[in-house]
Amino acid sequence: MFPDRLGYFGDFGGRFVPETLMYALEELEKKYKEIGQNPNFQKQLRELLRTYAGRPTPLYFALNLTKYAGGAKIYLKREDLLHTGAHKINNTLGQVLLARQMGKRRIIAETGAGQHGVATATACALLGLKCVVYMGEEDANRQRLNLFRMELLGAEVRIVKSGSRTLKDAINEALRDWVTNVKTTHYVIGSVVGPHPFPMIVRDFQKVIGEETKDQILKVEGRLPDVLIACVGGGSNAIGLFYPFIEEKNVRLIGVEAAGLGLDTGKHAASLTGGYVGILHGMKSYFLQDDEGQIIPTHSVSAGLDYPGVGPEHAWLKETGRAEYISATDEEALEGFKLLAKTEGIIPALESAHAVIKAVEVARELGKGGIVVVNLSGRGDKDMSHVISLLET
Amino acid sequence: MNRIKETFNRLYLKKQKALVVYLMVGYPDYETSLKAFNTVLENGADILEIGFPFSDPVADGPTIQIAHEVALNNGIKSHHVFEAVKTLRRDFPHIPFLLMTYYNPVFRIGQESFCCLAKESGLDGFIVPDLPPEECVPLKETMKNYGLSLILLASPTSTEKRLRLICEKTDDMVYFVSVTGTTGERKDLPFKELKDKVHHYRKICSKPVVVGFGVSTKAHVREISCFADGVVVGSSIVKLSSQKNMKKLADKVKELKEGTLKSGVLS
Repeated sequence: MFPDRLGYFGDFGGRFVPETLMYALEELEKKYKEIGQNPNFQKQLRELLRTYAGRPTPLYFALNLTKYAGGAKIYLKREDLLHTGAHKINNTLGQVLLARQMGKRRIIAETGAGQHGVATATACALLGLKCVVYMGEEDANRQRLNLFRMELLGAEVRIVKSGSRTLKDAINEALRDWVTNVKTTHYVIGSVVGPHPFPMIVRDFQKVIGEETKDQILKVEGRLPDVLIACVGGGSNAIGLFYPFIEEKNVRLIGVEAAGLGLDTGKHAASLTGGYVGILHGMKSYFLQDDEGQIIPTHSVSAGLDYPGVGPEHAWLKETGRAEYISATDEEALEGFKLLAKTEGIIPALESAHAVIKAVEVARELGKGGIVVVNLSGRGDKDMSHVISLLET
Repeated sequence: MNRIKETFNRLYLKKQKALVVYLMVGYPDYETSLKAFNTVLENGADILEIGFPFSDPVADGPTIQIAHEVALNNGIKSHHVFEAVKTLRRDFPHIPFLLMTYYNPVFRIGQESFCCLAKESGLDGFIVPDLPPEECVPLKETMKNYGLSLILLASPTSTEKRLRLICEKTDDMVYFVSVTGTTGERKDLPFKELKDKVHHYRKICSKPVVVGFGVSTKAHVREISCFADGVVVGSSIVKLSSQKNMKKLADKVKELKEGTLKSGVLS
């Protein structure tokens, strides 16, 4: 059973934070075990997910995309249909509900693309908690729509102008806020990253994706899929899909990282493919860093993948060989974006488009008779103005 | 006996408390930082904390964040830091030098090589703000082989159980964080609460305790000197060093040092 008692997935994970936060993490772990596993809490969360967020999400057989690829059947797990447009709401409803029961009145969060920020602001509006979201200046510029959305939902958005002004720095700033206001505040981390118990909690709230997928595919196909494929930034949608299948050794798990302008250009965000083991944001995992341990700037067309690290459970899945990690460039992602729109009438988030384009390749390799499930983690509405500017240039 | 223990013993006999001063290597530039280190050492710093620049200093407030960023932009690498320490060690053979570094550079460069370079340069130990007692064992064991001390931090949120663990794992002293939060000057510090916390700590741990975060004036230093074994001053000193005014920096350190004396005047 991972993580172990100290929060490790094999050699990865742990709890590398200032002493001030240690008690809060111990407390969170304890309360999560008490409240999170409590049947009443579970029931309340299930109801919210069903009636408010829109679960279960469909598992859709993408016939046109399958024909286009000319190989294995491609199914899409439609997390893009959830309220707020991405899988992030699974986690934020769970964590904000948990925080409220822990007696915390103030919520902070970081956001990259803005999806997690919107999902947190939404859960806070619903459950009546004060919400502050940290967002890097560069991300705020490329995702203006989500910035307005968060404000409309009653959240205070604080623009982060330090460091690379993206997700990494938004997390730094959220950690600084948390270390200052730890007594009153819960930090809703948006991915399976950070110090223990966050990677475990976020995974537990996201694993509903894989659980539903399992039931759904068994119903329509009578067997498990050959391949699961999902994009990986921090890795929450991928873990959500993969986790219930980890013991199903015949199901291949493929994570797609952001290769940006190309792995050899150095301008990418593929920490598992191109990074080294290190310690940042409270966890031991893979990070893009130089020889002296300085974190290096990342690049991806999608703000949600533009992060120099990855969740420790992915590092462990890579190390043990249980999951494979590949990458898609910005150009490939844009191709996936347009392809899914034209073939299926579904505009995916740029993040998910990384998985879509690689699913086409994998379906071809696998050939007829195979089954591939893609996690369509979010929808592309938020990316429209960004894509327009990219396609125009 | 090591320099840290010697320093506390010496100050105890003189009825003084330790003035611990923090500065960043390479800020505002390498040359100035060396001058600033010399200035604080010549004017009353009992223990030196040497900042190692890092790209993501989560425990630091705005002043020291800028110092990290500028030092890195100035191209400061680990060899510059160790060179600076070597130079300072030649002129100040008895003062404890503690490297304040985040864990990732140590981990990435390699604990063995990092400790070897640290020892060679004349460092006495490390303070690693993102390395709690639960995670410190691998580094601590390597450091022990090189005779280096690992100083752990305690916080107002540390429970009795945690204080015991910190006391057990730390070498020579404990760095007690005055408030929940990041480094940086604060006008008011919760002295009453802090005093209670330190008294509580004393019942659990007999190792010397220095108090830092937010401390910037002689009045702060004097208040804290009544109940702690030392006081750490960082951001306000870093700010002065960035102005490249060594006279002002010297006066500030002298004034702070006076705050650690019972009589209030240097003999």
